[in-house]
Amino acid sequence: MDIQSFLQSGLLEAYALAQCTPAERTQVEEMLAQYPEARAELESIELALERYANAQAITPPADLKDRIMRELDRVEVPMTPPADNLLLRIFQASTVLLLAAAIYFGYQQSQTQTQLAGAQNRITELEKQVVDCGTSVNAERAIVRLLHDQKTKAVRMGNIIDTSATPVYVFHNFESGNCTALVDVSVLPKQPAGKYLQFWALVDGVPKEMGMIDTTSANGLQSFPCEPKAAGFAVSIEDDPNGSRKPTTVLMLGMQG
Amino acid sequence: MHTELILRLKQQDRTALSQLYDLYSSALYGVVLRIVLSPELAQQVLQDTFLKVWKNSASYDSAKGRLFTWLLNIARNTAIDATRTAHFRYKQKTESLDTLVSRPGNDSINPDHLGVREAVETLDEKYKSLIDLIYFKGYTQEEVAEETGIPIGTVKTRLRYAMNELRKVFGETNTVAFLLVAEALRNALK
Repeated sequence: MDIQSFLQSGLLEAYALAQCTPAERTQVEEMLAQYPEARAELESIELALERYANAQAITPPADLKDRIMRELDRVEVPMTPPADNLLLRIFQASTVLLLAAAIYFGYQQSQTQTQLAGAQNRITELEKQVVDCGTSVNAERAIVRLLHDQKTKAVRMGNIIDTSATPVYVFHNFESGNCTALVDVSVLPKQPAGKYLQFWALVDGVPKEMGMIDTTSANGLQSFPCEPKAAGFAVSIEDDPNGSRKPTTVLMLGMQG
Repeated sequence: MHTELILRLKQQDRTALSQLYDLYSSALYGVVLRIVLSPELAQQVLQDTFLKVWKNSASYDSAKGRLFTWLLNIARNTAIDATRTAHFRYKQKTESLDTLVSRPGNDSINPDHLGVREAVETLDEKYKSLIDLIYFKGYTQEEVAEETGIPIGTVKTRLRYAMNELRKVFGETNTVAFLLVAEALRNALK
C-alpha cells in the first residue's frame, strides 16, 4: 500500500483507537517505521484523542497518589528489560548445555580411557600368550625333529616296583646338534603328597642328577640336559621336592640296548 | 513528547511516576470511572494501572504511539477486567454514570475543564457517544453495532466522520489546544 492510500485507509485511526487486528497492527507499525508522515499523522490523531480525554477528565481523590506511591515498594520490577532477560536466559541455557556436554564428553573420555587401558592390558596379555605359544610351538617342533631324527634312540625304562606298570621311554640323541633327553613323563604313576620324582642318568655306573620330573608338563614330554656318556636312565621317588644327591627309592630303570 | 520523563520512568525513578500521575491521572480517572461506574473501584483500578505502568515501563515503545495512548490502553484494560467481577455486576444495577458524574464530592468534574467541556459539547452527541464507547470503553465496532442496533457499515462510516470532527475541534491549531496546554501547565505547577 502506498503512503497516501495508507493515510486515508482509516487504519491509523483504528490503530489509535486500539481497534486493529494483530495483522493490521503489524502493517501499521511497519508503515510507522518507514514513513515519517505516517508517524506525524498518528501523532496528530492521538493528540486529538488525548485532548478529548483531557476535556472530560475527573480529578481523583487527593490521597490516591500517596497510596500509589507507597505501593510502589511492594511491586517487584524486573531488573533488566525482557530482551535482556531473553539473552540472559539463552546465555544460561547455553552454559548449562555446555556444562552438560563437557560432563558428558568428560565421562565419555574417561570411559574411553578405561576401555583403552583395558584393551592395552588385553593386548599385553595376548602378546605374552603369542610368545608362549611360539615357545611352545618351537619346543614341539624340536620334539618332532628329535623323533624324526634317524640317530635318535629310545631307551625303555621298566617299573621295578610294579613290573606290570606301563614302561616309560627316554628319547635321546647325543650325536646330532639336538643333544637332549626327552622323557615321556605323562605315563609315570601319580605320587602321593610329599613324594617327588627325580630323573637320573647312569654314567660310568654311577647315577648322575638330571633334574626333578614335572608330571604336569603340557605335552606330556619333558626335556632334560644333554648327557652324551649316559649308559642308562632311572627315575627315583624322593621326599625332598628339590631332590637328593643319590636316588632314595628307584622306581624306573632302563639301559641302552 | 516526554522523552526525558520516559527515560527516567524506564530507569525506575519514582519522581518520574509522580510526574506521570500529575500529568495524566485526571484524564485516566475520567475514563476509568465511566467504565466501572464506582468511585471506590475506579480508584483501585487507577492504582493498579499506575503499578502496572511502573512494573512494565520497559515495554513502552515511543515509536508505536504516544505515552498517553499506552497509559489509556492499560487503564482501560484494567477497568474492563474489573467489570468482570461479580461485585461489579451487583453495583452496576444500582448506579449509573449520570448519577456518578453529577453528584457532588471528591469525584466531581474538574472545574478547570469547564472551558474545554464546551468544546466537547460542540460535538454531535451521536459521534461523541460512538467515540466514548470505542475510545473510552474499549468496544469493538462490531460490539457497538450489536449494542446500539446500528448496522456495522454505518458504525464504520460514522466513526470515520466522528474522528474528522474530533480532530477539527481538538486539532493542534484549535483554541481548545491552547486551553488544554494552559491547563496542563497549571496542573504541572500545582
